[in-house]
Amino acid sequence: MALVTEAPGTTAVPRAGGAGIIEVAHLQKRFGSLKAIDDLSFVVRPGQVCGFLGPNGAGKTTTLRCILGLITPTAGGATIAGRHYAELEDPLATVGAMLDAGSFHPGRTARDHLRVLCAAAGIADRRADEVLALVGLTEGARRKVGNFSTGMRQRLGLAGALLGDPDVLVLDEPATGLDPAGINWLRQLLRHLAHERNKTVLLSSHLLSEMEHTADRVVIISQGRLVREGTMAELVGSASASVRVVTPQPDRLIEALAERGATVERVGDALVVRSSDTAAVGKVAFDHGIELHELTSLHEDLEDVFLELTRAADDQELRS
Amino acid sequence: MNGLLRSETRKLTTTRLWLGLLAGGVALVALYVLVIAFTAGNDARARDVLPALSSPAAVRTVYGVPAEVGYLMPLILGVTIICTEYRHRTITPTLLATPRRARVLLAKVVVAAGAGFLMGVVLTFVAAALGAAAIAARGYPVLLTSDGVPRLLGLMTVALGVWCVFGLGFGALLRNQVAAVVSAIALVTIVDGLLALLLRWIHLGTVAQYLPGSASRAIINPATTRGAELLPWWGGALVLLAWGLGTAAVGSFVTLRRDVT
Repeated sequence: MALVTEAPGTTAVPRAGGAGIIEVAHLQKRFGSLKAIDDLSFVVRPGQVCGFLGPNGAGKTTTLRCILGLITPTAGGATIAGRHYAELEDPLATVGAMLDAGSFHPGRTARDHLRVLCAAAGIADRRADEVLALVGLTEGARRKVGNFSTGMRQRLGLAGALLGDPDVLVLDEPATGLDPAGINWLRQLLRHLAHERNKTVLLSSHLLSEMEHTADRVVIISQGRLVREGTMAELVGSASASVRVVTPQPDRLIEALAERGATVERVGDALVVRSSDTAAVGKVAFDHGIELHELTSLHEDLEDVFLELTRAADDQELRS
Repeated sequence: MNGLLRSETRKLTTTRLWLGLLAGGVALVALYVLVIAFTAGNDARARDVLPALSSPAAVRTVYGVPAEVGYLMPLILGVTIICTEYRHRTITPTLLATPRRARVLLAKVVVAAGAGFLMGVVLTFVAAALGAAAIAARGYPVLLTSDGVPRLLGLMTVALGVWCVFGLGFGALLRNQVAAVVSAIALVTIVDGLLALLLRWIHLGTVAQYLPGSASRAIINPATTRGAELLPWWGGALVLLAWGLGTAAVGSFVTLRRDVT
């Protein structure tokens, strides 16, 4: 399978224009001696939901804050529609963002929170009520945010991101604290915005499974470095299947399977065969008269792929 | 810029803190005015500290209470205007809506000056009304239009606006709200005085008069300075203004460069 990672240098120059394109090019950020982000490059295009994944502490939030001009990179940089965030003419109409699961003054009402932003961004005040209705918060509009549940805060954060009807959405862990119905609602909304309205959606998560039905593409980082970039379909395809076999004659079975070109691994007192065909493995044993005590199909799920990818990056880090 | 000013004003008016600080300020000023007015000149030994209310300088001590203690409220308000944004992390949406940070800070300075000024108007009115009533009750002429009193009343409103700007700059430097409020109060009520004492002790009393607390007191131009050297009222006003704008400038400069994590 082709890794979509481009060789260093090919993504270096932010391409001019491209409404809605987020481009991160050779981004690097150090906090003291800690390298939080190390030569990270990727591109997110309109019309797709891009999942930005990595374990806790991988540098996801730092990257998003660099894209949004809140953190100054040590080297490299990020552009939206070919410009740095601080140079955007009308930032809220270009990019809508939600960080820290939304940030609110607990003593301010949801409506007032949005009206504060409306005034700053030159957006008509009635837009505050529109986005509150859009995220289903009309009822709670005049309640203080301090009394909100996590899910309601999340919705308000999203309302803030949608305030300027932007072409680009950048959301940091938007699903945290949402119930299953809320997650489903969020998924529908984001896919609608990307696919029907051609918006660019970049959302971070530390759970790949959460992204499986939401994201079209994924960018996976670990230790501040890119470990994988590609479509969700490719990633799902790389989740391998195997068959677990327990036998009192493991050496004979390994030999028999090796003749058929199968890859076999000893795991404790069991063998793990790289194959999705349980019947074929059983037949090989039967043909050679090998006694079997267990024959189980194993399916690696996306989370295992994710763990493997990010662990490989960790190991590399240790060796270097 | 108009939108930004409206945004910053909304931030203030959509939470209750300003109201609490104003109420606290009114109570504090009323208490001090009454205590000073009803004890002035009572104790023969303390007459050089609190002389009888028969001179313009003595009544200025009563009318000048907002500049003596009331300024703490706009100071705290100024600190919170910036620190509450860090405390509740609303600095993130603020800077996303207006990534040009210098404009955000300028709007905050203008709104802080305005809010402090309005607080100053209220507190000055309380001090003047209650002070005049108390002085009259003690049988002295109220002297509201006499030597330096109208000037004092006018200057105090501006001075409280400056104190709010000073608080804003100070808060921008420290960011942590509790730490900033506590140390701002300690700075002006304790450190300022101690430093002035120390400077006088090593015969640098002329330097001490440039401290913000001394500059603020100089506006009152009180009957007695308890041994401290004070600038003339206009000098005090200018020095206080320099402290406010200087602190705001340093705080803004630091905020412009700092990462918002």
